[in-house]
Amino acid sequence: MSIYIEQSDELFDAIVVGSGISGGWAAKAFTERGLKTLMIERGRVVEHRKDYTGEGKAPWEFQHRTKVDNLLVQQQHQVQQQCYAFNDATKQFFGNDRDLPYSTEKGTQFSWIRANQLGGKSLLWHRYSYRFSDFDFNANKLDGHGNDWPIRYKDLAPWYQKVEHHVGICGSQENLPQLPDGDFLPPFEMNEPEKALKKAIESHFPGRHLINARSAHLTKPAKHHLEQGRTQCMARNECQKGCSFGGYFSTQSSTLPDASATGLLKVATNSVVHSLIYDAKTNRVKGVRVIDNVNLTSREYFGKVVFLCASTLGSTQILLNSTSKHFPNGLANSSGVLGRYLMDHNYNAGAWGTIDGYEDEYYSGRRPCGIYMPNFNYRPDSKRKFVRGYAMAGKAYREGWKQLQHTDGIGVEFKNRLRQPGRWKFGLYAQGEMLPRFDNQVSLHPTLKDKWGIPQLHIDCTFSANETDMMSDAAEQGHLMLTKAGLTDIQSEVTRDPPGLAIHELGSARMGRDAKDSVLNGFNQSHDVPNLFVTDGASFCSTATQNPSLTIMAMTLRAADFAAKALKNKQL
Amino acid sequence: MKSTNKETEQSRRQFISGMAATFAATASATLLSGHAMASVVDRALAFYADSGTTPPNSYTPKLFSPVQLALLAQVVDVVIPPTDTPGALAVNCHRFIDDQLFHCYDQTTQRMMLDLLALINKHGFSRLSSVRQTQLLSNIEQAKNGFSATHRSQFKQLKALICFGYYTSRAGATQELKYQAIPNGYQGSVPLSEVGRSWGSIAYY
Repeated sequence: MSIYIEQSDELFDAIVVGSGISGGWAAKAFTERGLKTLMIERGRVVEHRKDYTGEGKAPWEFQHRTKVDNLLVQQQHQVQQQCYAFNDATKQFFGNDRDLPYSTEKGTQFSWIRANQLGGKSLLWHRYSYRFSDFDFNANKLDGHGNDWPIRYKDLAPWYQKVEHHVGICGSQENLPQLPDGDFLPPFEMNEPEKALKKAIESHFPGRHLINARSAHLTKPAKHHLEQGRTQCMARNECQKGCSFGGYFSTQSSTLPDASATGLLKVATNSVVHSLIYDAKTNRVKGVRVIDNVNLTSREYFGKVVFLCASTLGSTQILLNSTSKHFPNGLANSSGVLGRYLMDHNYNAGAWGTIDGYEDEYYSGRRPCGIYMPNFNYRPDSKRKFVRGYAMAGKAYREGWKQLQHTDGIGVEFKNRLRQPGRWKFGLYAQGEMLPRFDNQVSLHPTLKDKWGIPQLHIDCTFSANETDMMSDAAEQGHLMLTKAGLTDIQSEVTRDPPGLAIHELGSARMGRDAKDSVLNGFNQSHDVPNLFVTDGASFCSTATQNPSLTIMAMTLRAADFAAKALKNKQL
Repeated sequence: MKSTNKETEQSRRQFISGMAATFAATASATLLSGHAMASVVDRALAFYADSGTTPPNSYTPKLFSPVQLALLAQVVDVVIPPTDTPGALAVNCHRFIDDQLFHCYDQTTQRMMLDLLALINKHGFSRLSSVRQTQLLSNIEQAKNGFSATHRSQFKQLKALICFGYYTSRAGATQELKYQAIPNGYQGSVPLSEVGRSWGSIAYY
């Protein structure tokens, strides 16, 4: 029997809006706890393997060798094309900007990357998976930026463990206070220059660590991974085309098959959630109003508990558009902070250079990750010019034709030179924390609507001086570390790109201890409406320096477990 | 074996008739006079003989005129000539560049490439010996002997297109370089002498 439905009068136990990283986990968690669950996805079905149309294609099989036609970009992908992973083999998994308009405040920019199909951005993510530490959960309270997280590391630790075990995260045990270890598969190994750099940097800079990246790849699948239908990562590093091996975690490769196997899952695709249906008498959400993605007709679905897992901006848009007499400014918004404290990571600094030697060293395969330097500014220090910190990521690689093509030369000598790899290069690129600021706000545009009749989002979000100062420091420290490590031709750079393109948009429906200044409690549950939860990035109180997806998964699983128990005990 | 020979023979004939059509379109043969024409055809043919490269079928240029395309065909083969592997002409790099410029580049870049071809033509590129052709392109690339920094940057743009077209072609990626479609895992340390060549398979082109 197909899991896909369109019309339904059924009262579901749980409705999950969204099918990406968080939606997939919510659906898996609910169905495995015996709850009849409806997953709602605004886009089309993407079947594992079958719909990975760009997968396995060599560049010469594309007319433009994976570049995308100007005209198409201009008309449909002006924003999406800014993402590094957007190309002719992946473009079908990115949104169509023509149909997905939004506005930004005058003088500001925000690049909103969209993945509106079954699986969402779980198909496109960069797969880096790091636990937050108590230094992160304590940060807001300590320096007063943003509100205090209502949870601490111990609250999430067991859920991180469960998630990592299921997903398959490769990495190394490091025993670092700012980056807790987890349940890891073996890491992708470092190449020889990276090993030497690790030694050099760690000896010159006590407290700084160069470690293997932790990412959601099956380097050595366990039995339970094979039972999911997943096999070892082949190291193609073409993940965003989709992976038939199930080498990386996605909804399609992992959570959706588990949820489907219970027989309790239904999926409504092409269902754009317009708003939530609020019942003032019971103070509960009864269901969702949906506009059909294709034919624009409307329909409704009903459930006992609603989980918003529609992406940070997506979930907030739904809440803002769910207005009633009780909630004139958006559902669950008695605090007035809904839409506020929008954040992203800051990637605006880097340093890179050349490593001499290692002429007969090379590697085989395309490692889908690299090395990682955890935040070394995790302890507050009033002497620093900025608060919080940054992690750094990078890799060592040998120059190939893409780098060497720019050298002078014509003819046989040039061709023969490009046949061989060039020098070793290495770079460290910052991933900085962005402070939660009241002024960084997403709201509904007062007049403009999209084709489904939903008010467009209006984004007013900028980096502050703290982020700029932090990036200057990152470039400087990167330069210094590479110098001490003996690199040559070192360059560093601070750029001024606007937020959005880290694709780590977070906040805007934050958790908190106090219903007066937050939307959700410590279980991602609305303070105002008990059967409403938001478990995606919207719920974050701060960005920390770590990539957010693993924490989103752990929080979603924890919240779903809490909601399922509460539902059974008739407490919702 | 027999069928391979037959294929090769057919390839030769198709190639020659294809080139002839191109040349016929070039008004008089001023652009591709005897020497140049013979050398470009011979060099390309030498590679169809053993590379299994598909010979060019007919192609209608989108940005360039047939004359300009024929000139570009010579230029790409001087920049990346046939050696023990096919050169840029054998993989139809000139046609790729025409198509790519038309679909994936802005008008400024298109104009820049047209200007550059005009410059190369002005110096009688097609009539030069292959040594002189290489010299001419080197002078442009190094902005010397009368060529400016602008000429250099125009040429760098063209060269980037040639390299992109060549190293993402089947022969460029798999014969000239080494290609791993499915690497079956990552090894952080293997001797270069064992791999032999630069990897032609990369994640983002």
